[in-house]
Amino acid sequence: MAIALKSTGPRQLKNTLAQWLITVGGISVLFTLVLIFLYLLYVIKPIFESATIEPVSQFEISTAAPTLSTGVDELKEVAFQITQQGDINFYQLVKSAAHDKGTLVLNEKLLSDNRTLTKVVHAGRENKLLIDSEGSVQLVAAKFFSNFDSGTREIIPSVAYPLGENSIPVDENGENFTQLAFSMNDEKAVFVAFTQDQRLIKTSLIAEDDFTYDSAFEAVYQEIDFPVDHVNDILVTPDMGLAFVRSDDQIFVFDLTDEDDVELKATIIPSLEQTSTKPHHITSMALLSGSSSILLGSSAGKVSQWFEVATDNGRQFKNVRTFDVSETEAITQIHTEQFRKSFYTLTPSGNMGVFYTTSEADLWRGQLTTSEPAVFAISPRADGLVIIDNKQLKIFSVENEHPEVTWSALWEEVWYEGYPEPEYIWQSTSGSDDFEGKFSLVPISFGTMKAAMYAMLFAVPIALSAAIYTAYFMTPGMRRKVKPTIELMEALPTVILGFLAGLWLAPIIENYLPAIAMLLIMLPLSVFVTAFAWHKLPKEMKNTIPETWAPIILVPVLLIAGGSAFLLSPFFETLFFGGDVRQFITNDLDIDFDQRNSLVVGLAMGFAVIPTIFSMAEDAIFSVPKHLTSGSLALGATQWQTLAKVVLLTASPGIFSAVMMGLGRAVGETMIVLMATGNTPILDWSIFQGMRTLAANIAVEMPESEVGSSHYRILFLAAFVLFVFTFIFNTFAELIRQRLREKYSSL
Amino acid sequence: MISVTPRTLDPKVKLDLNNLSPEQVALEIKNLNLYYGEKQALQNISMSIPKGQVTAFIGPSGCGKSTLLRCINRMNDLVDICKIEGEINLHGENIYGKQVDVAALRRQVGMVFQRPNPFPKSIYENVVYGLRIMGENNRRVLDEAAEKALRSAALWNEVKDRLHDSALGLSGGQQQRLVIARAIAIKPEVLLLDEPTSALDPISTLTIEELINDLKKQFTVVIVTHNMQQAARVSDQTAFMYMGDLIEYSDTNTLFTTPAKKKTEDYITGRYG
Repeated sequence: MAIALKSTGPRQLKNTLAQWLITVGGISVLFTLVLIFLYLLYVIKPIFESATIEPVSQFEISTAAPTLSTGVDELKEVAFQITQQGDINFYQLVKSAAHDKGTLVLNEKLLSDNRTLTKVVHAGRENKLLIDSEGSVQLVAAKFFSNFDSGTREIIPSVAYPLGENSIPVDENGENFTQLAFSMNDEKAVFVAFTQDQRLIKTSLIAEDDFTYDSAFEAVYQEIDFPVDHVNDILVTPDMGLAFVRSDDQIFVFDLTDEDDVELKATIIPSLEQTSTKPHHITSMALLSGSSSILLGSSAGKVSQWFEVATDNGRQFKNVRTFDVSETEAITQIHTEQFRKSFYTLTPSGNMGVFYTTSEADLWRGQLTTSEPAVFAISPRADGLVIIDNKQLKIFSVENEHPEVTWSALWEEVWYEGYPEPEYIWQSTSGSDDFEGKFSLVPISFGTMKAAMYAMLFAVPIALSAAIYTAYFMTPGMRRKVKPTIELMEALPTVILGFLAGLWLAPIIENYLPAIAMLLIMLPLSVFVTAFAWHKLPKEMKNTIPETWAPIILVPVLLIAGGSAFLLSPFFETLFFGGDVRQFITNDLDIDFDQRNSLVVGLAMGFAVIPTIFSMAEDAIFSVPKHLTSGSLALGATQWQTLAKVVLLTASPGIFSAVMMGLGRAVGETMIVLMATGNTPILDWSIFQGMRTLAANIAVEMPESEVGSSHYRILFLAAFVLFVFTFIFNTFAELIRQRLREKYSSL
Repeated sequence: MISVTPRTLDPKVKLDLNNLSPEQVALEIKNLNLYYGEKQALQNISMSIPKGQVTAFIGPSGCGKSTLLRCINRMNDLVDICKIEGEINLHGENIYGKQVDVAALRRQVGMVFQRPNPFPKSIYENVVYGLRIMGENNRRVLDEAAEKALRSAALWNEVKDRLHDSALGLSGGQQQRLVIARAIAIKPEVLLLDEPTSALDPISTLTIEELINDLKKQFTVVIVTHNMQQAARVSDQTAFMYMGDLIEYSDTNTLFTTPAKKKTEDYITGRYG
């Protein structure tokens, strides 16, 4: 009979089955990890993409008169032009049930008689201010409504007159204007204008009721004392607080908040680099969304951003950042988005640039038209452009979802509007509409490190000394009880630890700060004193307690030391700190104090990390072969020398892993830091201040972030950073551990 | 009877083990009893170990020979349940006396274990370990001591070019000689060898045995061995132990050729063990 070399029957089946199951299990774990990684990357990717601008459609418009202004509805389905003749024409941009693409949907005459328009001023949102040859002013608004009567959406355009159909008496003398700026809200409208007889005037229209449903108003006229003979540009902020008046290369800032007295608040004189051949000038000016910044374009091809900054000499306008837009050409137009801090620049040759101020992002450069377009508008959602050039109406789609996020904005100091200097700030949301999200990952990454560091500062010495004692000095019987007990601590849900730390421990620490400081001294001191007393105790007394249980006498000693620290705390407080340590710290030492601070987190998270470190380090020390310790002892080394020179050295790979595992746990820990830190994203090493960690930040903000928004994606990026952090930590730890093991592993 | 070829002893060294003069005695064991908890592992052992000679302890497994050896440098102190009565005198001073510093004792009575146990350090650091823990950090002193110890342990030529490589890269035999070098670097008076070759191959064993022969010029050597031929080859005196008792103790030649006790004869002729 042949010898059966193959296993047969059920045994073979089990073998194969087991092999397959294990393979499938292993591969699917790896696969899931890779999938998580890829998903994170997939969500994060869009925030680092540049803008793209694609032509969508273009058609010829058959009006003879030149176009002065244009605009488009939110859905980019209907665009309009305002011609010099005073016509407003609405064109269908996409084919709908009622109209073909390019159809003139609506035409309305805005001027009553044979006047012509000299200027159309974009006046915020859908408002356009019309100035005709006689100097009369009218405000029109292109309105769009959705209609679903035909079963599909139809955009119905219309024209509204928010301040009435009559001409608005901007100048009481009835002079025509060279420049005019305008801004309004429901109760008030403000004009700032430079008349042909060289007066700078401010006219306020106070609504009798509310402009949204009643255009009746009362006009208040003011003349601003301003001795210049010409003005190139005027801008009024949407909140009607400031007027920027540009006369050649100087910008005068007027404060409009005082109804009776318009004051010159500041003068901005930008330093322009002058070459001998070509003196440079300011060529354009625009207000950035949020109305705190103005942008100045120069003939040198630069755009500079200015806003008010608190300095030692009060608030001053400062040149915060400058964009190099063009080497050769002047910046003749700057267009800003309505809600975001992006801006578009145009040069005489039609070169366009798209930038984002805060992140200093250079998003797009290119040429959409062969020369500078006379009429240019950004769609309300900033996802499209309308250009009318050579009687061609051109529509472009703009893909620019996350211009505020760049690598440098995430990791470097950013100078936000209104801040005195560049800073690292995480502040994702606020109550205000024109709030700009501040997404610096530095404070929260720092918070993660800080929390982990304080936790490790508390946990490592305790966990390692406990591990050394348990593994090296403790009798086996006692070790069998102590080790599982400490390991059991790991099973404690961290939410309970966080809860206790935040609600119970934090107030105690605040009330008994001197006690906490004293504990640091009293606990080790009492241990040393007890040890010394024990050493000096006569043998007969020592023998009454079995040596293995001798350490138990430390328990009452430590309790007494701890208790007396707390009892003495109020006494010390009155004696040295004038009765209130917290006030002493904040007032006398000038250190900020949070109740939920790093000390609380260090203790609570340290407590959570101790079992992890203890357990692994204890195993490592305990598994140092006995023949090594014997070898050292036999050479006349004391227990301590053996411990320091042989045991810890041999156990070092394991101890190192234990500490790194603890660090990994501390970095990823969420609940404790969430509940016990106060979640303040600040950059401060102070032990009396809180922090916000990456993990806690994700937990706090994920529910309130809009899906697909920059905020949402940055939270995913924070998760990715956390992932990378732990990945780097673990890889690094494993590499070091391998090297240590190679070097110190024993037989 | 198995064939053993005892080392021919120099007649000058032939000693009367029961009547040694104080100068000839390295160690004197007096009425030593040792208990592991309830169990008595050594029973009333008394013997004198002569200076500058090799003394072997033989006997079957569990006879207490290793325990006795470990008593000589108080390695049994590490075992909690171990209790010792009686005396072991070194220079006429009881090593179990109250004032004795165990670490200092172990510096005078070095020990080499069954399994080579080099520390996970370089060869050099292993050799100078004993000196370093005594506080010696002078590089020149350490270098000299290391070379001397390695030469004494017949390892110098093999490792002189890689003193700073890890000791764990050495072969088992080399490691054991390194451990011996480490033990003799601190110049003990007595060197205890606990089955030093039981984990080694025959060639390494031979090297170690030759080494032991050299070592006795400088140290008193006490060796525990399972291997009777080895005892016969390397030792001057042999003690046969059985069940915690010292059965017979005499010069090796006598013990292997004309044992006085029946148990000894049974053991050396291979009837048990």
